[in-house]
Amino acid sequence: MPLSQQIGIDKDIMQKLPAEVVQRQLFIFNGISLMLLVIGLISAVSATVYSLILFHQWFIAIGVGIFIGMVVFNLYRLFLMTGLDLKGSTLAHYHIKHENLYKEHNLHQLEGTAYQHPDEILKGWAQAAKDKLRDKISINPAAPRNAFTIAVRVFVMALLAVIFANGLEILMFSQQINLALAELKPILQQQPNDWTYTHILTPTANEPFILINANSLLLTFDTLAAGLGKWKLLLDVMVLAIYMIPLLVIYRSTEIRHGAYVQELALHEISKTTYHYLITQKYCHIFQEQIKGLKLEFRKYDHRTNKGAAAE
Amino acid sequence: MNQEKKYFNISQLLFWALIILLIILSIVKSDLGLFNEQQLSRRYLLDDSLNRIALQEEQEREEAEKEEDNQDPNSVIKRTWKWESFDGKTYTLSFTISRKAYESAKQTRLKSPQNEGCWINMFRHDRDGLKDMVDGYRNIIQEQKLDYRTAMQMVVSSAQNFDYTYITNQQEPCRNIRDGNGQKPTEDCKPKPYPYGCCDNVAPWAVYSPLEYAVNGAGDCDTKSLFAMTILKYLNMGFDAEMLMGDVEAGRHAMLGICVPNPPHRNLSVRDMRSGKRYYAWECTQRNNASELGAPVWQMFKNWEVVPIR
Repeated sequence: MPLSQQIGIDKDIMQKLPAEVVQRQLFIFNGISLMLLVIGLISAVSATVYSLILFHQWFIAIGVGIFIGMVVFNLYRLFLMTGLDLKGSTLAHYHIKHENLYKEHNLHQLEGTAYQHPDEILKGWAQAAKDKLRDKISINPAAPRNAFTIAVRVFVMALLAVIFANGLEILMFSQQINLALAELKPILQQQPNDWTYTHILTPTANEPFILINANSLLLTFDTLAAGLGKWKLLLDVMVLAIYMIPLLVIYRSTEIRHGAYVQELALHEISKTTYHYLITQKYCHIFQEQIKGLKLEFRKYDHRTNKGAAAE
Repeated sequence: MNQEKKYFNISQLLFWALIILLIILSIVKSDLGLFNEQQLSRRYLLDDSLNRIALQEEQEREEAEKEEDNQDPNSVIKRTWKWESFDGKTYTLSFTISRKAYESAKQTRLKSPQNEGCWINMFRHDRDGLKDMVDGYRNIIQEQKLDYRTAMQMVVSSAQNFDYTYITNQQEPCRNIRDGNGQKPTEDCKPKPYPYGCCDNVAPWAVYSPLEYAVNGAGDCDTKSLFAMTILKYLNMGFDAEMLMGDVEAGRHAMLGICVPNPPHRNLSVRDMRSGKRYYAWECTQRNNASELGAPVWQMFKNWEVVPIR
């Protein structure tokens, strides 16, 4: 299964495009799919690290990791695919309001006669309308976008990036964090019944520490931040950039925003709707005729009569 | 490559470059020294709301360390010590030492003869330089109306307050030092919790003068004992304090010797054959021993002698 299918790209939609255009579009979406898979994997690993500190059990941690990884992958996929809109394309005029297409191609006039034609003919008309529309496509690259929806997506992904960056850094520097905690332990041990020593740095009998020798996420964060210093900011920015790049590509690359796939997808949807519009006209007429042929008699009884009949 | 294609290609390249960089960083992180675990425990204790180390004291110590960078010979070095004594009270002592006296103390140490001659030289030299500090101790004793025994405990506990620091010379560098657990000290010459710090190349006899200890707070058995003895002698409270030297199971050792009536223990004491006085040993490297005169921490106590410092 091609990678691009993982994010919902249907290559059959691009049948009528030149081979090199299809190849390039598939290359792009395969690349984006791979990026999303890597981001999902980073999120899964990071969530596993967090779960290990909280639950001290591999089984639960891996389960949580896989779940969170899939949630992030699908959330990102949703953000990307719903970000592919027709702002700046002439197709938007028809995609938002299909009646514009029907009017332009005089399809309203077929309302009384559509039943006379087989389905294939209707499909052909819809297809012909689609092809005419393709020839009319023009793009305005400077068309404004909805800044609010972009900001929401960027904010959500940035928040996730920073959260999962910490998990990744904990994994990277687990040995160093454990060394620092080991240095802290004998100092705290000197105090009788020290709470941090007893509850945070001492494992319970049935749950030995895994990865980080502490029960506390906060203490782990503190140790990580204090140990890394300014390097933490750099690592956070690196992970943030990794999470932001696919979103940035979708919104900034004209190859994707106004690319052949987006236009073809819109044309496909318009043509499907047009065909179903014609089919609906046809079968509406046929069913009306059939109902008339049944010679059903609908009578209207007054309220009292109905009541009396019911009483009998 | 046209402009349109460029954007995706560069973004993709950047994405994979960052991933590869992250992988490389996670492999070579130790070599690059990205994570500095040194002093993390200290920082934690400073930040902890249950604060086991007085934050103010630590900040003052940090400020004092910065001050030390000021190399003007006419400048003064300011220090504030805060510690808990045997009576459970916390004492604070602020004092100044002139940089000239500090540098002179260093020079005196470097020119000192071996063993007791070295201690005597430093003891004699540091009298003037430590005047402000000794006056500070005297003020505490007067203001708090301490009897001689509580005053003695107050002075010794101040010397014990700093964490143990190994002091070494060229014959036995820090890198060769291991404690009973095989632990190597850190080579940063600062009093710090275990694993302890270590001061390298303290020529010639691996001991700091009392004045240097007052400034740095780094010391092992003889440095701490010499400091406590010097202060007690200069306070002149009516009892004798001397240096004791001998063997314990850990090797050659130095302790503070106190000649007081009715000491709490009699097993660790040394008689001075010249004066006939008995000096009771007080371990200065351990903070707040349970016993007033220091718990008898050593099982073996052989070849001990009193080293009179005049």
